[in-house]
Amino acid sequence: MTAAPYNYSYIFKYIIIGDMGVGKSCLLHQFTEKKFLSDCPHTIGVEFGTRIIEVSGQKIKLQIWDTAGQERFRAVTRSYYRGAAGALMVYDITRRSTYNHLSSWLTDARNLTNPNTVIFLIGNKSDLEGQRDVPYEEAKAFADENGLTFLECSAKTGENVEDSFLETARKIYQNIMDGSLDLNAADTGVQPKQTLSRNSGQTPEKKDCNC
Amino acid sequence: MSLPTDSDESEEELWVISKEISLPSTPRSSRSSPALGPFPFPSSLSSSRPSPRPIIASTCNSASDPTIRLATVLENLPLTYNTETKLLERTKSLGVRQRNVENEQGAAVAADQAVESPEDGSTPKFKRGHMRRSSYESAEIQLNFARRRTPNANKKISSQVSDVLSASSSLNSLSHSLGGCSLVTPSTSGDPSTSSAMDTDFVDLSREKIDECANESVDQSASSSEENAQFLPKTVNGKKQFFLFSKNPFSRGKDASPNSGWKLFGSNKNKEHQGALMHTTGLILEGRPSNLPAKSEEEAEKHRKLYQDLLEQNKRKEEKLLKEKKQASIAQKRLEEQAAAACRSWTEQILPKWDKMKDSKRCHELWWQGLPPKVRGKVWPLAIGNELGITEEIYKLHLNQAITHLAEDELQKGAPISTLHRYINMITLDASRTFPKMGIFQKGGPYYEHLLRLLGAYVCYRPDIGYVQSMSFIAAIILLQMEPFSAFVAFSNLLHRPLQIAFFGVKQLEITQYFIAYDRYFEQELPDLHKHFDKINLRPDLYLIDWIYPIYAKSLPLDVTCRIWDVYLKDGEEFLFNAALGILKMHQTELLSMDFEDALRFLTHLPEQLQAAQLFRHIETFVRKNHGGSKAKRKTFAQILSEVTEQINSGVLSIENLMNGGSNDLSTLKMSRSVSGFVADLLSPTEEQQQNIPQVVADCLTVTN
Repeated sequence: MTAAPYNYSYIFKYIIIGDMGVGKSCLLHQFTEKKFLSDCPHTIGVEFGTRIIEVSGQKIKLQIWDTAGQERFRAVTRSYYRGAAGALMVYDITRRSTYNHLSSWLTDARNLTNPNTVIFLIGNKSDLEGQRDVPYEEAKAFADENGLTFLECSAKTGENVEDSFLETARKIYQNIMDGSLDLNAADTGVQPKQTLSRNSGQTPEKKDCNC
Repeated sequence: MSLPTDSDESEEELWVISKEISLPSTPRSSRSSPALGPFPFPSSLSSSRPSPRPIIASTCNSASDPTIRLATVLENLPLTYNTETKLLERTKSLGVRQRNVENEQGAAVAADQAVESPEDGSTPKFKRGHMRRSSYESAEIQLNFARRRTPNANKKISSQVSDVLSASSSLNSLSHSLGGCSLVTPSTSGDPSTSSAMDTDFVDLSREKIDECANESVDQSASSSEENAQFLPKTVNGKKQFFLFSKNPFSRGKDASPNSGWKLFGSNKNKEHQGALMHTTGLILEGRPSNLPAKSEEEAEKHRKLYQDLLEQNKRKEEKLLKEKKQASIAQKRLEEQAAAACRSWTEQILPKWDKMKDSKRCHELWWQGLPPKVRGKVWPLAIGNELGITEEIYKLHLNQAITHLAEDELQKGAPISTLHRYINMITLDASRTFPKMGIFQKGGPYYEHLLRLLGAYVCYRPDIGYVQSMSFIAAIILLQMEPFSAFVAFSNLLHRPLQIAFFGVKQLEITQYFIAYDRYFEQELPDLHKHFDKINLRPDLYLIDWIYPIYAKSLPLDVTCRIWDVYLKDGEEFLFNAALGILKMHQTELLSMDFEDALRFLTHLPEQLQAAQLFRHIETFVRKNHGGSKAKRKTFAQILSEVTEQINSGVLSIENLMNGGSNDLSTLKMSRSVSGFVADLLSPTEEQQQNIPQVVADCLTVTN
């Protein structure tokens, strides 16, 4: 790759989904700014953040869409699922109701993204161990059952936040490498840098930028 | 305090008295410089209460007469504090006409006030205010002089002062008209002495009292620009010390411009700066210590010149500052007057005759300028109305329900069963995330309960709509303006407007209409930017949802939000889209050069210092045009919206059509590529039917940079 210093080989689009107040925006902020935002207003519609990471020596730009959590908004937010290569599904370990809703979030994620989309389960607020409402084992079992990768994180302390995002990227990259992810979605041909195009329905959301 | 100054004959003698200090010979010159104003108090000194002692120069008017040099300088006569009259008086032995002088000088007021200062003998604090008005050169010098000497040379000074004392006492006895010198000592020995001016009793006169008086006097005599003052540095630790104060050293600057008066220091702004300046500038005029060769005349002259230059500079600077300050305060005042006038118009003319006045031109003009904050709480409810006919009973009924639910919610933690409980949970969760930086809607904040109750009562009142995120912002804005009941009425009725019904009910078809209409309107009004956005595929929903749902409360500064609300409540939903275009137009140049990510980041995090006036100038270009009724073929947003609605209602677009592969229908609706992506997603009915989304639509869904 003869990438210019600021260049990157791929853009991965992520979405963050989950119930209200589980800390989606805080996770995003922690990942992009490395700061905990204690007074974050709730998200309406969608928020957006980016960060460039490196996986196996490849620079990858993560373009992260953080959605509103309320169910009412799903008609609006599902528009943002499209073309996501990674989906971070978040619940709050101190509120069981947010865990109970995971199956419906998972259904959405499966239906609105393509089969190769990597779905990562995050149990947020791991710093509040004292108020834990969902045992780790239980969530782990759920994740295994549904073929999800799972980590407990804390957007407050930053614990495991980086890992969740990076691990998701690694999986996506691996899918590209082993060919399970069809990259010829780049039907636009050789476009300079970021061309986000997607194949009608079947291709995951990678952009291949080949400079 | 004014003191008599008579002749220059005393000058010679003063020389004797103040031999320690070099005295400039022209009085006039020196006083002109405001720069001297604040003199420097080293921290040690200021903490040990430096005592300014104002002396009012009587001679300013006669200043042009070079012969009356001394007069201008103003001398410090020994003063005593008369506990009965509470006046500072010249010591009787000197027999001077203090009162007369005061009167003559028109500074009597200041002086009187000064002497009324408390005589409790408490340590007077150094007052910041006095410097700007009365500090001047001589004090400067004196202070520097004193400071240099005091700490380590008390005894020496004492003896020196004694010498001086005797000298000046003889002087005084010779001539009453002597400008005089002042001797003050910090003393615990109390009572003011009225006996001999120069004996120890006098010296012991209560310093604190004089100091206080002096301070007060200075503070209150700002109006007198002809005031003279001297400052008596005090000693540290209450040790008895003598300081010699002579006439203003600068008064000797013969060549200084004759017209410069004893301008005092009008500005307090750069006090510190001036202080620092004084520090060094004052020193330059002093003679060298006795163990060093004396300054040559030439050198002294040069120093004086330097000093004058500095003074001039500072004077100019200060005048400039003063001027700016004045202008700013005039502008501020004008604004305040306007606001007050507007407020009066509202409360006195418009509100009492609302029905008659609300459509008047005057009312509309005032309205456009923004409602005065005081009036909003009254005008908003009137503008919103009460179409729903909500009464206090209805309110109380639902409020009580809400209170019950809110209480239950705390008891039975988690596991919300009913929909209502889920709403209550959401409200509790979102309340603390509403204007988090304001800190008043958070748990423990003054508006927390009000917010919970308003939203709670609303979900009880309209369980069909329930709580939708961003309602908390709307409720918060309303609560900031009015009482709970009015707020409930306003909130419920506001959410009953068509746009809110569509958005909060997430009615896909209606929202689609708004977005398509916005897209066309945007294209018509700002074609370049629209083209650019379409090119980078910046869909309007990405920012418009964030703006429209909370009616800009989340995106704009509070004052700007309120101004948008002002007009929105009067003119209706069209204004919200005009406002959106106003924001875009205001930043059009930047936006045109941004790529997808930058533009989106910008639009979802608008500048915090966004100015209402500026924004409204941009919005106006859209609004006024519409009012103009010109034959321009440009359509208003409302016209476009009704067109779109008509098309859609005629069956061009429906969920059923889409499900049945009616992609052609969608394409017949004119819209840009970017908005079609959103619309297609929005209209896709259920998850199971996602696969049925027509290919044409799906192809529009790419999100690119």
